[in-house]
Amino acid sequence: MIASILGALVYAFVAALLLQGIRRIVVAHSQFRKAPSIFQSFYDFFKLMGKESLTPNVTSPLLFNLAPILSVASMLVAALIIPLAASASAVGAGDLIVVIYLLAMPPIALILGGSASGSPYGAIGAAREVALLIAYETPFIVAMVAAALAAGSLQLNTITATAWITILPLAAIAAIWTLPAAAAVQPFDIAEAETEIVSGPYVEYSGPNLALLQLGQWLKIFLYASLIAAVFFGTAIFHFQPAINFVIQFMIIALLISAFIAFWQATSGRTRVTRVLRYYWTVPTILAIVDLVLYAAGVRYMHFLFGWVGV
Amino acid sequence: MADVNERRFANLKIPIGPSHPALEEPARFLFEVEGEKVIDVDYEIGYNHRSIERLCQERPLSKVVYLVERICGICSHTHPLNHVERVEDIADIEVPARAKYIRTIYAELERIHSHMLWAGIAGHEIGYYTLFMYTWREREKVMDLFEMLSGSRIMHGCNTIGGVKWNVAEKQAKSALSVLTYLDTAADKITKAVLKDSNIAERGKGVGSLSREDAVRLGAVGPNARASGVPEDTRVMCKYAAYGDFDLEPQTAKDGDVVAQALVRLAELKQSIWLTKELFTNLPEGPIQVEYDEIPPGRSVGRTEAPRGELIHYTETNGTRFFERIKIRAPTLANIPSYVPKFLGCQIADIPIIAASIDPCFSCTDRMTVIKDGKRKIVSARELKAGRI
Repeated sequence: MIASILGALVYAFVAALLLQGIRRIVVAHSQFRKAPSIFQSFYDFFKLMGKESLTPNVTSPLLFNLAPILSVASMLVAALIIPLAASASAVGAGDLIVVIYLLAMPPIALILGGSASGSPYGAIGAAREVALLIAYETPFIVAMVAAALAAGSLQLNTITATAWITILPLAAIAAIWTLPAAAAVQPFDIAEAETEIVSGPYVEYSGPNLALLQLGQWLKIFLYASLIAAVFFGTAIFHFQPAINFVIQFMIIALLISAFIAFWQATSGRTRVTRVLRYYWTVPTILAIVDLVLYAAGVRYMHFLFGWVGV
Repeated sequence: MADVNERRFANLKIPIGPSHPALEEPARFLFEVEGEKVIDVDYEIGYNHRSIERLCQERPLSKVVYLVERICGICSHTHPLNHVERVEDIADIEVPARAKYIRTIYAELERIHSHMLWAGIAGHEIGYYTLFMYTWREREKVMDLFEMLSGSRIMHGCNTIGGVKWNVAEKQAKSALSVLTYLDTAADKITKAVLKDSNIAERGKGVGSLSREDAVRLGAVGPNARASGVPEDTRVMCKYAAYGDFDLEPQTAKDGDVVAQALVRLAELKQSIWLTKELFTNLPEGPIQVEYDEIPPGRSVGRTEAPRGELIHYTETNGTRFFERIKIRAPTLANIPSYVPKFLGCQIADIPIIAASIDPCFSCTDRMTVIKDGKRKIVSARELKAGRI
């Protein structure tokens, strides 16, 4: 138990930072420039951890200093619940609702920290983060509920026994569609937007506080992609050896991050905050709802293609 | 009670600058916002004053050319070009045709790289870093071309009173033409990338509009005025250097918004590439420099078209080794008032792209600001000449 918990935490930390390195390399190559080292996030993180953390003369120093810890702590709990590395979750059982709550914590930490920082940039960044959060959470939650309904359980270990993309492809598309917004990179880096509001909620943070806030964000990207990979691609669908399943799952996550976060980031500019709600509450939400309703009505339209998988 | 409520709902004031990631140079804007909407704006320039005009009066006449070249890193040709034309006008020096053509080549290459730089910065401001990387990579080709022609990427040191210093060899002209052909296709690609992108259209259409009336009333110049439909181009109007030999059409657009600014600059990019090719192929033979005796006392005012718009130099000589007075009006100074109608009613997200859309160059602009105890002092011309400010 202790070993699996420690293993899950270390794996989440290393994988999250490595995948950031991979994302940055993909972006750099799409922009015809030299890429940073794949370990750049490790360097950044440990450098910032060794620096001094300044607290500005703010309205709520407690909230300001608590937000980064809240962000990382909730992500570490989520790492124990989500089935990582193509195996069951580290604590044995996990609930989908809890995971969805936990995954919303890093943005909420940003909102709290940004509001508490006393900077107008932080205040605007926090307001934008709220809009972004409610925009992408809607299709994501509907897609996850569709998978839970189809599995007949809220237990993640039960849900992830099936690759739901074979039965609920529209919900899978909707969930994957929310990845760039959850990652808060272009075109959805509206809360940071350093040319507009000087990186918003992050503006007053420095040293270990900044490192933890960023670590929370990086862990969130990894865990969010892991949850999508686990729910829609299954943890052990082909019944291979555990090591091969692990490699397959890691590659799916890396592919999701480089194709849907990095490539999207490299090919678009920043959108406006007013457009995000319109963007996520139309096509992705409708796709997810259509799949949910069709499954509830007993329509299995992908059966002819994936019937052999045996669901 | 009323004032408590007022305080609670007081509009947020957002300072942009003097040091801010959206600004390449220091300037200060104070925006009053209601939610995400800008309802009032105040600006302040003068953080970059380097007393260039005073320095121009303090060094020998022949060295001032190099000083005015250093006013701006982007317009490092059009400032000395305007300056030497003023001196040549006072001293009645007839510049050889080949020198005029070479001056025009540099001026047009400068416009090409400046407009590419603008497109890249516009991409940076809306967070489209791939556009930024791409245009700046192509811009490097122009910088390399400058290095081949003059030995220097930025400070070319090309102009001198009575002509130019660097001749263009047959071989250089040939390789320059091949680079320009490459740039022509690159300009097409950039145009396509900018105008076909739905995100850029959404971020730029109707953003920072400037009506034709406002452009005329506020005295906008250059691409900023042309984007609002004012067909003003100093190259066409004044026909300085070798521009008289070519038939140029001022490139205009209608709306004055960010997309219109991009349209005008990209059309000018294509036009400049065409013109530079023509200049290289029709380069006349002959000397590139003439001798001159001495500069008589006199005064001259003249205009050139910098990449950012109309640049005015006023030069006064007194028959000695020194200038009596040099006054420079950079294009950005004329364009700054048009910020106000552009900013009013825009979203916070649009502030950086609107600020960048007029292609500001604050270090060219800052001539003089005297603020003592928050009060502006009026300085007489005599005090100014003596430097007692």
